[in-house]
Amino acid sequence: MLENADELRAKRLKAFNDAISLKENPGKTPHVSFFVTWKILDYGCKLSEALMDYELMKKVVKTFQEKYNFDGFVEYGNRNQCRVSEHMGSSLYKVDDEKEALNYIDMAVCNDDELAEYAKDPMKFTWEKIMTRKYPYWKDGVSVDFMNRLNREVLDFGKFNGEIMGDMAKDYGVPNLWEFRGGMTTLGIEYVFQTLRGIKGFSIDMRRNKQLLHDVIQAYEECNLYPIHEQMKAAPAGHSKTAVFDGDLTMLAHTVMNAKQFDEFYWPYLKKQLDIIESHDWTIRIFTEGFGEICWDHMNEYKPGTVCLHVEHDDVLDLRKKCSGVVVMGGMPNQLLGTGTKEECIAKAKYLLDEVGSRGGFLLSQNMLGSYRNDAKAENLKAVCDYVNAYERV
Amino acid sequence: MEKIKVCDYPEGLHILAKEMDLPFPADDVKDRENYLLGIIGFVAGL
Repeated sequence: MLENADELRAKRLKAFNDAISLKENPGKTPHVSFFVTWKILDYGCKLSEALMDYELMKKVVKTFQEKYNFDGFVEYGNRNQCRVSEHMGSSLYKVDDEKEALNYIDMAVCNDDELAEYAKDPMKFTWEKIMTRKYPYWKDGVSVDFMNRLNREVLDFGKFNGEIMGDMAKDYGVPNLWEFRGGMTTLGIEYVFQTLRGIKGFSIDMRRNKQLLHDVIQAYEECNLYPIHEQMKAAPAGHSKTAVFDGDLTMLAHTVMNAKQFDEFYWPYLKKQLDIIESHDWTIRIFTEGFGEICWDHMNEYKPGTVCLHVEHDDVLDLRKKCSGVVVMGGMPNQLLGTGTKEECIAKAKYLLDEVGSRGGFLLSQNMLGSYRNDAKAENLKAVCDYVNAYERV
Repeated sequence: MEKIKVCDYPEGLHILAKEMDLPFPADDVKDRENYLLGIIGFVAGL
């Protein structure tokens, strides 16, 4: 626990706000952790232990911060809800402590001939088919006590989230990365791609079942997204006073689309949400997996600072130059952190701070979720964090 | 322990909303069902 945590949090928020307002030559470029299960390995316990024990996970996160001293966190040990899925008898998460790997088992839960059925009643389909296909223990004959324990697992997960965010803000001066207005959202297109259909089914749908694909996206959004949009519209305008961003999305489905398909299937749905964000003077972070240039022109049409693109494989300087109104996040390759020397990592950090950071509108982060041991060497990460924290612009 | 039939919708929803310990009064059927839909939606989305 830091004595000056409040002061530090205010300082960090100012640095984030300077970045979001695209202020040139800012005093400090914020450094954001994109590490997930790597934190557990670095702490020195087994993945299975920390993922199933929220008190241990809190120690993992706090120890990580004491060691590396980041300005913000994308993940606080809450990405993988293993306890909830394990309660339902699921093997969605495969934890291999020996190989130090956690794999999520992708599963397409809607067959080719079931799209119309989903579009007709998404909740019925979710209840009767998705739950049954994902969870062996979701079946007739389940006890009320079992379902009460499921409810408690979900509540415990929520409690853990609230506590770790509160502790990190209060004790370590780390502002929350998000204050979600109306709630967390997943776009229909991403739900269809990642959960319902998978890469193969989705790619076929874009060619052969165009209208049905729109119907399914529309049905999902009416059921799950529009109620949140209504709450967002009713919320007061103005950027959060306590968090860095007002919303968050992850884009993956664009990686299997050409520009024409993106404009037909992705952009109209994403635009609805971004219009609400812009009209409220909010800022949203969007992680674009793979290469994301397909969306850059659209993003750059919004008011400066409305969109922050966290990029995976794209070049951050290229994005900074081409999209003057977009906040840029990322830049530090995990591959370099994992296989390079300390000197090479520091040189990369210096380049990013000098060339991209000085132009403003930049949050330094890693380009990929830090999941595996080889995603960083501890000494490299420590050297980069120390360098970034000592870096000052005059 | 009482075993219940849950897998039909909306019948399963009605039964669970009635039987489970939820943070709403027993006669507040709409809120209980909406809460439960949120829980199942969250779990299904994992």
